[in-house]
Amino acid sequence: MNDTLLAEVAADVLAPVTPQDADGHLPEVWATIAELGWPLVSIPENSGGSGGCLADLLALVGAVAEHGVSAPLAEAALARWALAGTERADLPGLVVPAWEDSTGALRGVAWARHARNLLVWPRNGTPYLVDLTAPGVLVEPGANLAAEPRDTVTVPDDARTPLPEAPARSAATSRAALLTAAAITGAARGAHEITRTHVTRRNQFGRPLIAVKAVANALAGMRTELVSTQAALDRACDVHTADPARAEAATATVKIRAAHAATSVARSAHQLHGAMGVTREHSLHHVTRKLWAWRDEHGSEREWSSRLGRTAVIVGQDGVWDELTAPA
Amino acid sequence: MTDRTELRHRVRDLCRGWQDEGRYRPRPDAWLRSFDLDFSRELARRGWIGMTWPRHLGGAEQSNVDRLVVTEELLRAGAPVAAHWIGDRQIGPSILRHGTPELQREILPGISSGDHVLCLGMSEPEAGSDLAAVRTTAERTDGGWRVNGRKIWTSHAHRATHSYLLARTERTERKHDGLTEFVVDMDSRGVTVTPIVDMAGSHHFNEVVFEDVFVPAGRVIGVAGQGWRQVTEQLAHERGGPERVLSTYPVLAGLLDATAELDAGLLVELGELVARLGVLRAMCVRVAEALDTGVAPVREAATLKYLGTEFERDVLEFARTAANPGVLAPDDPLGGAILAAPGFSIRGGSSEVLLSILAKQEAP
Repeated sequence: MNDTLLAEVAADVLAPVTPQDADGHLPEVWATIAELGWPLVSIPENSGGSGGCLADLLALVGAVAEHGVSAPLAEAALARWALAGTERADLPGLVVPAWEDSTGALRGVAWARHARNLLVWPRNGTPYLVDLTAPGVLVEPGANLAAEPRDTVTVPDDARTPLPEAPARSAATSRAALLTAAAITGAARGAHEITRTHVTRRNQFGRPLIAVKAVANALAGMRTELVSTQAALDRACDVHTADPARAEAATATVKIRAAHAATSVARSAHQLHGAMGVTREHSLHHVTRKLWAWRDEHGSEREWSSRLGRTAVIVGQDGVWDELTAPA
Repeated sequence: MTDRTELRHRVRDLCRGWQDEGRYRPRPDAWLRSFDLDFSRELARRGWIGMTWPRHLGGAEQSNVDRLVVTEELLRAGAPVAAHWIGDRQIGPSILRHGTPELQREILPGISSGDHVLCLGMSEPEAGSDLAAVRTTAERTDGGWRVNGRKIWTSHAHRATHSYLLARTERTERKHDGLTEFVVDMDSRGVTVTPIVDMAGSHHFNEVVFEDVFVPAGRVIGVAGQGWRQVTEQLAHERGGPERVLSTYPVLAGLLDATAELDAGLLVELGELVARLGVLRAMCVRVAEALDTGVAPVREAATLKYLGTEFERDVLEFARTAANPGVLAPDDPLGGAILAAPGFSIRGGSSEVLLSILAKQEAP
C-alpha cells in the first residue's frame, strides 16, 4: 500500500479514539482494527492475509502506539505471521505469542487473558499451540509499566498441540523485537509531538517555552532520536523483507537504538512538560509509560549489545562491515 | 553479485592493493589529512571522482547511493583521499547546481580528472562558525571583482589549484544578504598561503590572505548576493556524508581485528558502537537517496553530522579503554586521532550550531 494512503487510513481509525490506559482491557478500537485486518497485513492475500508489506505493518503498529493506544496489534500480527502457511492459519479469535523462559514457565505473556489461543515457543523443541479455554489452563493476570496485560500462564502437558511447521524461535523473537522497535518509534513520535505542541503553546516568563534556548535544544535532541531510530527501523525492515535469516544484526541495531531513544525521549518529554506531565489527567503518560515498558521487552539494549559485540569480535571488521552494508 | 556489491569490491581491492604495496598506511581522518595526488588520479581514472556528474563534464552519471558505496569504502580503508575530497564532495556539486555552463566546463572536468585541487575559503578568524559574519570583501571592477580579506583553517590551501571563496559583495541591513561565492585561482597575484600547524603537529590548515586579488566575472558561482542561500544548501552536502561517521573507523577496525579478549562489559560497549555505526550508516543511505531525488536533506544531514561526530569521539574513548595503552605516542593512529578529535565536532558546523539549526526546524 502507498505510504500516504496507509497513514490516512490509520489516522481515520485512530483520530477519534481517546487514549486510555489499558488497565487490563482491550480498547474499543481493537474491534475495528481486527475487522480491518491489520493483524494480517504483510501476509499475502492468497495465504489468507491482508496483503501489503512488512513496512505497512510496522507503520500501523507505529501509528497505534503514536496515538497512545494499547492494543495487541504487534502480538496478533506476529502470531498470524507464524500461523500463515500452517494448517492452523484460520484459527479463530485472538492468538498471541508466548516464549518459555529458562525454567519452562510462561511469564509476561502479552494480552493472554483476552486471547483464545497461545502460540508458544519453547527454548528448544517444537512450537506448540494452547487453547486457552481448555481445562486446566490457568491465566494469572499481571501488567507491565504501561498497565498492559502481561500474564502468567500455566499449561498442563495434554493441552499442548505441537505445530512443527511454525517458524523457529529465533526467527520469531527477531520479528517480535522488530515489531517492538516499531511500536517504540511510534510512541516516541507521539511523545515528541505532544511535547512540541506544549512548548510552542505554553507561555512562561512572558514568552513561549520554545523561546528558551535550552528548551528548543532539548526538543531538537528528541528529534535526532526520532530521525535516527526511524532510519534504523527502515533498514531493519528492508533486511527482514529481503532475508530474515540474516536479520539479526539489523534487528539488534534497531532494538538497541529504540531502547536508548525510549529512555531519552521520555526523559526530555517529562522535563519539558514540567510538573504537568506527571499527572494522570495529562495525555503524555499514555506514550511515555509505553516507552519505559517496551524498551525492555524482547531484549534490553544490554542484552542485544552483548550479542552484537560478541558476534563482532568473532566475525572481525570485514564481517561487521559486510553485514552493515549488505544490500537489503 | 549486484552492481553495487561489485563496485564495493573494486574499491576494496584497489585500497588493499595499495596497502599491500606499502603505498599508503590506513589512518584516521584520512579525508582531511592523507593527501596523495597519485591516489586521487587513480580514482579519477576509474571514474570515481565526480561520479554523479554529467558525462560531458567528466562525470559518470551514477547515483549518489553509488557514490556513497565508493566514499564509505575509501574511508573504511583509511585511504589518502584528501586531494580530491573537497572538490568532489562540495564545490563540484555546488558549481553544478549554480554555476554557469562556462564555469562548469572550466572547473568540473579538472576536478573529476584529479588535476584541480580545491580548498574551502569559508571560515575567518572573527567569524568562526558564523559565515554571515565574513569580512572578506569583493568589489566590482572592470571585468570582474577585486578581493581583499583573510581566510583561516583552510585545509590544503598550500596544495590547492583553486579555492572556493565566500565574500561580502554588498553592505546590507540583513547580514545574510549580500554574500557571493567565487572560484579563485590559487596562483593569482595577491594570494598568500601561510601554514598553521595543529596540535597533532600536522600541517593541513592554512591561513590564506587575499590582497587586491582580481577574480574574473565568470568566476561567480550562481547569483551575486545570493551566497547565503547557496552556501546553506552546500552545507547539507558537506554534512551529510559518511566522513562524519567514519573518520575514526580505522581505529575501530583495528580493534575488531586485534581483539582476542574483551571482558563482558567491553563487549557490551563494543556492541553498542557497532549498533550506532549501523544506525549512522543507514542515515547516510537516506541522505544519499534524498540527494538522488533532488532534495537538499538539511535536517537529515545536520542530524547525521551531529550524531556522527559524537560517535567518532566515542570510538576513540572506547579504543583507549579497551587497548589500555599505558603510553600512547602522538604518531600512533589512536594517539593522532585523539589529538585531532576536538576538530570533529567543529568542522562543518559545530555541534551547538547544528543543534540550533535543528531547533529552528521545530519552531511552529
